[in-house]
Amino acid sequence: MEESTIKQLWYDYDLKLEKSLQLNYKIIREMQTQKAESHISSFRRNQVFGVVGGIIWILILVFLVLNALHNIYFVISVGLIALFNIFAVATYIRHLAMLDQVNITDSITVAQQKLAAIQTSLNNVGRILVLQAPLYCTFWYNQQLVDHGGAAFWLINLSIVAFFVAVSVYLFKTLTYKNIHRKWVRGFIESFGGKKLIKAMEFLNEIEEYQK
Amino acid sequence: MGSHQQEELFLTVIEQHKGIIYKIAKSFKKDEDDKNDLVQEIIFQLWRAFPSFDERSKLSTWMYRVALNVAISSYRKEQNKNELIIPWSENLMDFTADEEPDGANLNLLQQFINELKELDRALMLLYLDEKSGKEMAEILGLSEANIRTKTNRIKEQLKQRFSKINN
Repeated sequence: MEESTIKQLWYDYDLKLEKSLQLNYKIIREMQTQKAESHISSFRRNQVFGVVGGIIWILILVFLVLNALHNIYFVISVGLIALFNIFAVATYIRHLAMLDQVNITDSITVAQQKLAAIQTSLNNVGRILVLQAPLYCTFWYNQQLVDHGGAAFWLINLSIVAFFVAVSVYLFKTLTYKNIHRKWVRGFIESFGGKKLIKAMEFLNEIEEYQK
Repeated sequence: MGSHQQEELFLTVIEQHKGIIYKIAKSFKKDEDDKNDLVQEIIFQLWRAFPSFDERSKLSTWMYRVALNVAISSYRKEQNKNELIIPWSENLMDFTADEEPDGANLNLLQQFINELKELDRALMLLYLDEKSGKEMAEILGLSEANIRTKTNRIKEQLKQRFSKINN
């Protein structure tokens, strides 16, 4: 089939659509009365929830630290957990700022690159938060335990901490898009809502391919 | 412009370009319900963006940008199918007594479009709607040289697909 015939086919299709498609004016008019500003996307809502929830959690952690200044182990562990969460909240705030810069009337490549950047950053927050896991194994240490814990106790405890350090560092390094070819990484990322990240990254690659 | 005037103007614009919205939704969603949801989402986002349309670009260019951006981004909403922006069960667009246009060649063409990657799909729709290289570049945010190369490649694929069937 020639190019002109294909275009004619599409043109005829267009004409038929014009004739047979009917808009539901009643519903569109109702839609128009909704204030555009009242619409908040679920992603934005999640980020706001993350910021509010994160701030509350940080305040609780700070409160706990301030009330346990005599226990250096608790202060260091919970203080570091608070720092991880401050980082997450700051990133969520940055996402909200980035979302404001996404303009749906921008060209496809520009708008989609901005959206993919947010999606990638979201994945990075998850990876970094994994690193705080070992700190949840150490916050309950105290001077008395350190002085009188005994060799067996410390052997077991430090083994657990070492295990969590190794696992969290391994996950941090491995759970990236560049390892997506590994079946379990793909499965892991997908099961934690990373399907969107995968799609965003695939689309980003497609854009880059186009721009060559 | 008053808000009532703006609402009426928007309806006129959508009426004139309803084909664009339908064709994009059909090219990006196979499932009938998903297609209707995408039509809703596109019209809603067009309405939200309507006040910012500044007439520097052609109306159809602006419309393609918004509609294609919504269609391409729609995978982000796949897991939130129950969180539709518009809670109404009625469709914003339907066929009258005349049925949806059909035909073997048309179905083949639509199948070909559906199988393309997102950017190629967008490019193909713009090409079939006879947009100029400049306008396509403006919508997709790519250089005209890029557009020419990619369009030629897709045209070749399309030709091959139809020649295989017709032989």
